[in-house]
Amino acid sequence: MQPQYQMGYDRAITVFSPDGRLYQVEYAREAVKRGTTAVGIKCREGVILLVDKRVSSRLLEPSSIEKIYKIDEHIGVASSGLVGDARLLVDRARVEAQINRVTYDEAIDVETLAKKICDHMQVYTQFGGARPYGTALLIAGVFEGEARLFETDPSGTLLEYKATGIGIGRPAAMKIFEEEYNPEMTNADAIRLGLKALHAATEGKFDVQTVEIGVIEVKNPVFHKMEPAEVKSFVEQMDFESAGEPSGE
Amino acid sequence: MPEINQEILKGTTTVGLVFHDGIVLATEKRATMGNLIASKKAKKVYQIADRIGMTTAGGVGDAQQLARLMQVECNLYKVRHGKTISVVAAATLLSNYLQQNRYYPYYVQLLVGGVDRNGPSVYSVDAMGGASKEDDIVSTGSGSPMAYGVLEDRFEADMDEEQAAALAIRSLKAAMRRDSASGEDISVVVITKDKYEERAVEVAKGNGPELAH
Repeated sequence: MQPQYQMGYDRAITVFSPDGRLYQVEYAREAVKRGTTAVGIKCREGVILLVDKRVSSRLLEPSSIEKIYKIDEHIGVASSGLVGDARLLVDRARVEAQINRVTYDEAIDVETLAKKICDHMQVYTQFGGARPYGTALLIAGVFEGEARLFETDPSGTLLEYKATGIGIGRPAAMKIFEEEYNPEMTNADAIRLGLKALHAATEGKFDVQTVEIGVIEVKNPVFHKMEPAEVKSFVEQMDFESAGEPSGE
Repeated sequence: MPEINQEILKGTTTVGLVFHDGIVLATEKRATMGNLIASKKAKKVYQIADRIGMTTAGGVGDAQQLARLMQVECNLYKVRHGKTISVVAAATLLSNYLQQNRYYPYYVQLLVGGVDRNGPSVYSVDAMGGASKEDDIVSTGSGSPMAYGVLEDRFEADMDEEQAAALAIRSLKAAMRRDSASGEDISVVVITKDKYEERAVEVAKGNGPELAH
């Protein structure tokens, strides 16, 4: 009957719509857009990742929410979108990093790892039987003295950024980065800029317990998550009231 | 069938030397099937990447197949990673492959050497996948005891390119005189960060200038 003609292009991921779109992939991107905000900033000293954990209840233990993951010694990722999907991708990334060590007796290049993850995500936009990942990742690392920051999305696209954001707060974060990003920043400056972006992205609904920070330095290329006390010291330094105007620089 | 195969190129001498800013890989060119000299110009050193070479000893078919495999893997590594493969990565990859084929092994004894961002290095790789980094000198094949005698006596850590190449030739010549499965001419490959250079040294005709000690 007549309504039948209207539907079909979003029932299977392997089917293009007449105007060349893959609706299931776009829906997956939508899942990311509704996800919590994560930002990444590359600077002179290294790369930092910040996420908003969106603690929805005072009964929730904030430490049980994990959105920054260490992949290998020199690589970490931040996720936005479906947390379960992210965990699967993270496990795959960890395995790929180890496979590289076994195969070549060398640590994996950040770009190679990012491409491996994207290759995997792409499969779910072309072959049927499963849905695409509803997750975007920021992949940060240092390899051979160079800081790298990549962004993936559910279509398997890979982009490298100086600073970027994913999730619901991306537009607000990007606006701040466009205005204030400076490649000569220190890691501490980058963390402050990241906090400012996260503050804007969450419309101020954020405190020490809801922020997770991952750091890697070019000089000491070991990715680590910041201890809550250290996060606290950064958050307390921030003067969000004057965030609207350029603070004393 | 395997018995026949194993006779081919079983006797060989290859040597590898590490000098200050490069490496030397050298082989003689005799291939044997039992007592028959099956070839007097056998190829036993292959370029597998821009600055990596591989010497082979053992079954000719196995060695050639592995050389082709390594050439392909190194090319793939280059296009996938956007940089040339390191020597340790190539040796590890080869080691894994040989280990996977442990129960139907490639009958080979290999040297993988070259120059990468970490400087010059040579690895010896055996049929079971054992890969060892060699610090200065290494030799494989039936003529290796004779070659080692010369290398152990004459190798010095601060050799330059020409001294290292000359020592490689000298050690091979000792092996070629006393090992019936090694002989004919010599192929010397010198690798530095700036070049992969293969030199043919004629010994069989006795007219190579390098012959004179």
